[in-house]
Amino acid sequence: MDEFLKTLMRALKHMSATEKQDIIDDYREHFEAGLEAGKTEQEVATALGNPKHLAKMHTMQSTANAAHASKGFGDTMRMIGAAVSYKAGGGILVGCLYLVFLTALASLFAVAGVLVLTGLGCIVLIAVEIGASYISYAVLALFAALIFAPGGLLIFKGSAKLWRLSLGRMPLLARRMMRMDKEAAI
Amino acid sequence: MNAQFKKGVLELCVLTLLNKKDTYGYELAERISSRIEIAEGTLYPLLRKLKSDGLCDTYISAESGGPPRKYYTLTEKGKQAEAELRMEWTDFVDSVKQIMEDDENG
Repeated sequence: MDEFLKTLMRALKHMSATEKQDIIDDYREHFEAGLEAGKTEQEVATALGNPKHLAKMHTMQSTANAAHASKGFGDTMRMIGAAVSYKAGGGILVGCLYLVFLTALASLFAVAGVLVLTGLGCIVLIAVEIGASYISYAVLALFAALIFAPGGLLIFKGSAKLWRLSLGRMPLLARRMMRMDKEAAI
Repeated sequence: MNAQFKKGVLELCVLTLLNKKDTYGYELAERISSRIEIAEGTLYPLLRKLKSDGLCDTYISAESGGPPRKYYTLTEKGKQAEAELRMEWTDFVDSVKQIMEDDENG
């Protein structure tokens, strides 16, 4: 029983702590009911099936729910991961999602670039305003420069990190897809 | 039995059993696996799906004197879904039978 639950727990890595616990509790109760009915732990475990495969079904199920309700980038990526690990047939879908994702990243880079340029423009503006003795405008331009340029750089850095993460994961995802394809169904 | 058959029918089996009476996970698994060969663990993802879709609900109870267990009960929506699925299933089986008979005669 412990081994089954431990394997299940480990394979449920992408899930929130409460949900994980909830699922583990269900299987624990199942074991207890089976033992009470006179079965051995081994018999119950065999009848339950492969805990890794069950974890995958739970992950699929839970991420599909989350997708209904939500929301952010993390959930989307988790769902893609789950889809890939669940069935290689999802590969095409995943590929499309990746394209969308990469396009989104490209536009992030563009936004970052525009922000940085605007910041630089503001610095030029400061010089111009000081030259024209419009000190208050120069101060405004200074603030704008301070906001735009670092903001742009931050977005740039963040996008670069995402970019590395996504491209770095591509081969990994592909390998997982192929491996999962070999695994037996229910 | 063919795995593709099982996948689709499992939900109908669970809904039907729950429509008869509130049941806990292990009992559900026993009832189904006594007739259809399944990996019993696959019931739990399905039960969680049914719950999140609002077709069933859960409560903790120590009925029949044993330790407390998580019981599953159908909601109104679940009962409707059961009736619809049952009808679809019956139609489907009838159609398949007809096709088989057609084939024998042809």
